[in-house]
Amino acid sequence: MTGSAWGVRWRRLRFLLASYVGLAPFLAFALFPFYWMLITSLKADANLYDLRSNPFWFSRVDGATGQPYHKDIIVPASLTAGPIRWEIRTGAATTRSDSAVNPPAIAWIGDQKVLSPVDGTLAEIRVPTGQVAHPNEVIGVIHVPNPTLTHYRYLATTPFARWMQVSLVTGAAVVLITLVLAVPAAYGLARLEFPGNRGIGIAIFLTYLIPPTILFIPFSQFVGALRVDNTIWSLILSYPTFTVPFCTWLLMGFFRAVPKELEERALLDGATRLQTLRMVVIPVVMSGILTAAIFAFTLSFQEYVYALTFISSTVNRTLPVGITVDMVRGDVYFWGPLMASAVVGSVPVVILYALSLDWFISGMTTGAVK
Amino acid sequence: MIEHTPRAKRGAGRRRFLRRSLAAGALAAAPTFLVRRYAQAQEKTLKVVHWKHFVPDYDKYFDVFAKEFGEKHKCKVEVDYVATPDLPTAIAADISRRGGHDVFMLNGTGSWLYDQILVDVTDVANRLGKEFGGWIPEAKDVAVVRGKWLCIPHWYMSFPWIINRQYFTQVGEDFTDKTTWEDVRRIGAKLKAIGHPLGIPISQTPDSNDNLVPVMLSYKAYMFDKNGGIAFAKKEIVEVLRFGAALYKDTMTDEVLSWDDTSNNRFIASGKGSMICNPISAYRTAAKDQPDVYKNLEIVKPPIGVQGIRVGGARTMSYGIYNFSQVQDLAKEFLYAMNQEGLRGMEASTGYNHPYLNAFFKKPMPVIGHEPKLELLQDYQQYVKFIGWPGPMTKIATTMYAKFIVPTMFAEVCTGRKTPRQAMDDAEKKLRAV
Repeated sequence: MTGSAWGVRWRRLRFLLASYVGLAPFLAFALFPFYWMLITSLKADANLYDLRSNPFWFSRVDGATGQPYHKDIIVPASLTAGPIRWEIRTGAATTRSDSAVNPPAIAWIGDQKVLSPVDGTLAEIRVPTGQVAHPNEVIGVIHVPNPTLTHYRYLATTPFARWMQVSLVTGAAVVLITLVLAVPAAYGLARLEFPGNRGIGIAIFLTYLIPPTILFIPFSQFVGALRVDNTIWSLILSYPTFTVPFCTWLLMGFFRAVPKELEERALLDGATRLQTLRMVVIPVVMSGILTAAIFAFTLSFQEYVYALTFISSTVNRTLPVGITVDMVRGDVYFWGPLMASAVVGSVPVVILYALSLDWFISGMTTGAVK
Repeated sequence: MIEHTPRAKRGAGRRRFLRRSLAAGALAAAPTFLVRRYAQAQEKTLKVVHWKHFVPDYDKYFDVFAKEFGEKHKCKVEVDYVATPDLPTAIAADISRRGGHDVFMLNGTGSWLYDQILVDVTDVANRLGKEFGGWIPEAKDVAVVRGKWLCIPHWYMSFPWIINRQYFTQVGEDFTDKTTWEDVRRIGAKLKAIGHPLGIPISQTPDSNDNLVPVMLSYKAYMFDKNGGIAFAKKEIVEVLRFGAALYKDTMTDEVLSWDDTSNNRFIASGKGSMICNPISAYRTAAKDQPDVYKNLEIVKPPIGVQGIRVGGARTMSYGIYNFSQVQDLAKEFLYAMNQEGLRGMEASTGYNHPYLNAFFKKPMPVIGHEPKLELLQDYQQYVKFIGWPGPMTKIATTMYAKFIVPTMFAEVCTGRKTPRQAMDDAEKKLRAV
């Protein structure tokens, strides 16, 4: 290979290296929350509370004792003493009691059921079949696997799928309403000249600046008067109040970037304003419209205060409210299920972004270069 | 070229465009306005807004109780659960639209805060008091406003002290019923030296109030008089702030200045901490996730302050009825029924729920009477005090809690930003401005 060929290769390699080195800190910064979310969702609770272990990866043994993570099976104080009968043998898998509708007993004390507190493997039986077990006594030990899917299994016991469905349906409806209202509004404000044009534009923007934490009280009266409280219609109706102003302003910029001559030519050729909008302007600003749709969807998907106050029944909740209510109980945070919910809950948004990435980038950079 | 287009025609085009845009918008929004919720079923419906309990099984129990109540009274009971910090928001929304629920839970507040929208439930309180041996005296502080019971205290959550006995033994010390706050400071310094500090949140988190207010009360550092008026016991408050700063310096690390309500749970369950003040959730969390640490944990009585005074903190849980409820009589029956079976709730909560009615203190109490390490909680009512003591739980007392006036006062002194006198004067100013 000639020296000049090596030089070309080296220059290319150097460029690639410089690009990756430059990109690496940004990627680490941007992806770390997702990494943390994923790793936490797969860690056993014992690992989460083990401050001596490496927090950035899984640990198989307890940092304090050096022993594998385990969980004692303690006879609940509410049970009465009696002879024990084990239903499973040492080495058998156990299923946490709250991840099944009718969890199987791992043992019986008289006619009282003993359930497994965690997913794992029965490692040791301290009180064998036939002996008397007492309340508060440790009767066995379960080895806890790490990493584990236990937190994802727990989600199946909650109305997680229903919350996701509500969020998706609400998001889709809000996007539709937002576009139907914001596209003509933005076009009118950007292109048509009429008295008050500028003032109306500013007024629309100002409505976006009022935070939902102030608006939720008057809105709840509105929702109550319409008798749509506790239905997803309350959200479909209220979310456009912040998505429409935001998207109108976003789209105004896109409409202004379209050369006037294009419209003038269409009008000259006999097209009406609506025809011009539909056949000439909208295809040109399609990337902007998709950008607005993505923003409208994510804004409604993550909204919390309206969803909390307008909907009180568990089955009609949106994902953010459902997760918070079900997995944060006073000062007890169900970290694993919370992170598992966050991982699964982010999937629709990730898919949406992935499918429309080219449009989105094109929309975000429109007007950046003339 | 456009200049040749007739103005009138262009104007008509714009107007047509605006008209059509408006029509399209109205058409899109119309279905949402046409929606009407179907009329409620013929049977009465009682709607309750409730927090999510620490213990998931308590919610399951409460659903069963609500169903049984509905069957007995031929009505439908709907219980809506919300996260603890979101409860005030849900209540505010109900009050704003004058609907949504009939019964609501007052978490950590007295009925004074909502006295304008609460129904008088004195008849229910008297009935319960008569049937169940009377109320503990503190119940009135929570519920009675101008001589009327406006809510029914249902249970309170105790804030006992949880110690890791192994570390106390390691430094050659003991924790007994006679241990004072000064002892805690002395022992805590030794514990900190071996890497196991104490953990009292001194930050803007509710647990911080529930930890620090009992310390103040055990030093007679009162902020209110018996009628609920602001009356700072200045000499005692300065003294307790000085003690607090010394306790912080000698026994804790600066992480407590940024704690939230979950921090002390992790602190003790991880094996790092030697002593915290928290509901038994921290103890239960360790039992669930860190069995080796749990073995060494013990529940102990709060340390003693001046003149032998011992004060245990607590967060109150009560239920009230909105005055715009259409089913007030049914709601009253519901409140009665809830308290009538207080011990069943205590059992479902695995010992979190402490009753207010004397008949329920008969030993052994459910769960805590059967778990050796929790047995002493059966006497917690002997030294429990609520926010606002020695006065009732007034709006100002609740605001003091909500605005974290006490934790701020301690934090300012502990970090050296203010002298005890300055911090106290500022706290008084803030409180008087409410």
